[in-house]
Amino acid sequence: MINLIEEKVKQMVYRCTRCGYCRLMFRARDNTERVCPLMDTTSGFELYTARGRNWIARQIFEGKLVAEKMTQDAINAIYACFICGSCTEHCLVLDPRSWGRFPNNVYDDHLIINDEITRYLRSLIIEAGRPPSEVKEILRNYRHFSNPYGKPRDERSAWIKMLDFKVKNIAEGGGTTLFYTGSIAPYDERATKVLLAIAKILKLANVDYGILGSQEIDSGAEAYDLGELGLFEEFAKQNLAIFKKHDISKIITVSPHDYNVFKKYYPVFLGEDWSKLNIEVQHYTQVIADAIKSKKLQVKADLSGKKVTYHDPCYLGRKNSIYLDPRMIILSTGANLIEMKLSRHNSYCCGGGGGGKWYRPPERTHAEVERIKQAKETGAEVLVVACPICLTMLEDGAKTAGIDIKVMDVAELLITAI
Amino acid sequence: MQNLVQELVRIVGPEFVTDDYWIRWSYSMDSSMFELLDAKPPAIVVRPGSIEELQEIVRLANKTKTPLYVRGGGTSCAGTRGTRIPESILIDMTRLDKIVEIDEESLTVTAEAGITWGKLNAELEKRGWRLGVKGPYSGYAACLGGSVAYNAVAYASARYGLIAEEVISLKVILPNGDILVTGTATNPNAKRYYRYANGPDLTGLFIGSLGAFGIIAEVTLRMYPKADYSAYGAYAFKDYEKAHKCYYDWLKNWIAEDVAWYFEDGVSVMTPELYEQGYVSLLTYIVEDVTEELINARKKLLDEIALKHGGVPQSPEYARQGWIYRYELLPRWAGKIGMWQWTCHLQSAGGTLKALKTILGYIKSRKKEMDQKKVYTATVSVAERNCGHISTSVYYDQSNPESVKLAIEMAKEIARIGMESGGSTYKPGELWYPYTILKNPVYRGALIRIKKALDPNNIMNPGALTIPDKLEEV
Repeated sequence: MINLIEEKVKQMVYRCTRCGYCRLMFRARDNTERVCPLMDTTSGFELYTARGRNWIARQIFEGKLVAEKMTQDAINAIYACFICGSCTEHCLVLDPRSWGRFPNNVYDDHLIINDEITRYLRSLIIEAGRPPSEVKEILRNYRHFSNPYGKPRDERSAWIKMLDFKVKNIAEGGGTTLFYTGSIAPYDERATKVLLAIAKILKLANVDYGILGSQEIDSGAEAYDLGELGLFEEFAKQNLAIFKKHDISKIITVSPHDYNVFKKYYPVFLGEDWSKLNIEVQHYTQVIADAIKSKKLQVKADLSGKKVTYHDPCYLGRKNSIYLDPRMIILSTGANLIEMKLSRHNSYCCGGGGGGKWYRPPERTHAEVERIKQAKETGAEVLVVACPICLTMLEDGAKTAGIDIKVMDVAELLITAI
Repeated sequence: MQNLVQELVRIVGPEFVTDDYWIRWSYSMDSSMFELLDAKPPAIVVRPGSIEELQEIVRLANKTKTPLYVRGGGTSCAGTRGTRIPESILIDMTRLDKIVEIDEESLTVTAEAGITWGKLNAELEKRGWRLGVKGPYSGYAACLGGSVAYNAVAYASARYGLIAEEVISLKVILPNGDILVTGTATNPNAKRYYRYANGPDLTGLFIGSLGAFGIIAEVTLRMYPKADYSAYGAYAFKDYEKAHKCYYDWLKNWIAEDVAWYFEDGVSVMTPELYEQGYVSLLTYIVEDVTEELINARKKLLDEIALKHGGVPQSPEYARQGWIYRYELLPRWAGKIGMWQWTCHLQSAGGTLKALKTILGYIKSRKKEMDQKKVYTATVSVAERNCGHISTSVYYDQSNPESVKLAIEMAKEIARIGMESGGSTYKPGELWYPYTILKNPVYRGALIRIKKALDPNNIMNPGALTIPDKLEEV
């Protein structure tokens, strides 16, 4: 697998023109003014940004730098990246086949996907056995417990006991539509409330779904971002077997990170074995928006006058162009949606991506605080999110900054209007 | 160097100084091919956050005789770093990115050198103003100070000239740490509103100096009211002479913001659909102004000139796209045909055609080898007020050493041909030295004497402008 990534990365780094748009871009026409959150939250040295990492990767390929001898500061810098994709979004080296779409290109039109270069560099650090201790710990938990908290797998379905209705288990013949809870929401007390809200909404919308409970395993999204490619591969193969065994036809994910990995990376690494299963993958915001559109879900729309703003999760918005569905859900409640200056493809990371939730290099400050400040500037009373990592990061950010703004998942907002 | 690190930490704080080997390596490049050939990291990188910190760093370097290299956006493509001395300090200027003053009284804007052109343009626009020149072809991530220090060309140069011509004043940290302000503000009671005042034009000494005489800390530029109206035009020609007459007349009348002439190889690469129809030249113009009447009058004259010379009207999109998206369309070519090295230089307006033909003849003579090694060229002439300008972009495959080698050879040869055809470079750098400064001992001697006077310890970008590392020996 590393060879596959290495080849792709090699092609990418030699396409870099070193123009620096991934680092310091400012563009009036679409409010692009802060591209890399690490420029705001670290010392901002070149290696913290995509151009520097690309150059370093190139030096490794050309034998001028030896990965095993990477310094601790460089390791910290490479693990500081949120893999939020903003640098890629603003990279100007586009696939010629997509030039006709300019300036409305999508993420995968870019020939240099900086995420991959960061992951590749991280994989070299992992291979050398030198990731930061926090990263080691998280990866150990994923390996042994299939979640970052090191909690038992049995607890993965504990949340359903808090519901006043029964949720079917796919392992016990509960259909073929899997509500994939992921490895954050079931274990994090705050994010569990989101699971409950989504489950209630899906029931009200008459969506026939089941869970895998303790048989659900991690998607490998975080392992992949942290550069543990072997572990990612193991998770992917195991999930393939599980989904095949239960004849899964559709997956509804809670986390945009899981959505992204099922949608984009499983097809690449599992190839035909995955595509043969023909599994439809949707984020829960898509399912709910569809239910509202088809009138299967009635919204009372009694939140008029409530000022809310929406934070686009990087893995949902920028990387998968899902911008409208969460907004449509918010608007269906009658709430007054005020956009942040940095929204949609320009969205600023919550600070939790790319392992940022678990690891903060010594000198890095809080991207989540920056984002909370941006949300507060809109005058909104509620910051709406659609990702369990964003939820927990931004709620922490509000507390750290002492800023009075309520952070809610879009499902939590909706449930108050049904 | 450890003592230096400690001293720098005292000046800017521990966060903004590093001597980490890998982080230093990430500063060993810019956008030129010269850094690919001879990438060397500095010993220390420092990111000052104020002019005072910058001043202290310079004083420290001067005291310890430590070479200083200054970096803005890191997007230069001319080979502007001098001798790559490892025991040196690299100053990353990008924290110095504030607008100091938008002075409506003086019709000028003053900004710190590390501000990007993107930010400067956007901030002015928000306040109802615009720049004449929009920024260098390195793009909107390039920084103001760097573009002035290497005398860059810009969008809208047909109307406003090189960036240099819009500079009103500079604030420069001299090698001994003193702060020099040029122009009207030489009088401490005066604002920065005109360049030529109170004595000789010292501003010009630092433009195109590559930082060899001091570090540009602040730049004052002219500003103009925001232009809400614009128009674009494109004309194709099958005949070089007619295209040149149109180009010449457009320049002579000095009414377009931007004029570009895509020569044969440029047409074949950039607009193959026109090349297939037998066109060997594409001329485009851009005008912007504050009223529709002014725009219409200028557009009318430009169109009449083009039609008189037999230009065949084409979609104005050829001009408009580049203008509205500024530099965003340039790097896309890297994804299609490879990375490029520019060979931009000035030519007299009337002499442009002859030089272009000579360059094209050379390119054709290398065609077979170019095809084998995946090297392509696109030659474009962008007007600079009364001057022509020729830039052959030599595209190459960065991952293929043979391709890189041929591209370097060709870029050097095109530079030589350009200079021997009466051209002159505006941005100095490694590509040009053999055909310019080194050919003129009197000019070079004067530069060395200035250097000795201002920077006797030779700490500022040593080796730049061909000034020797050891000043005492010259």
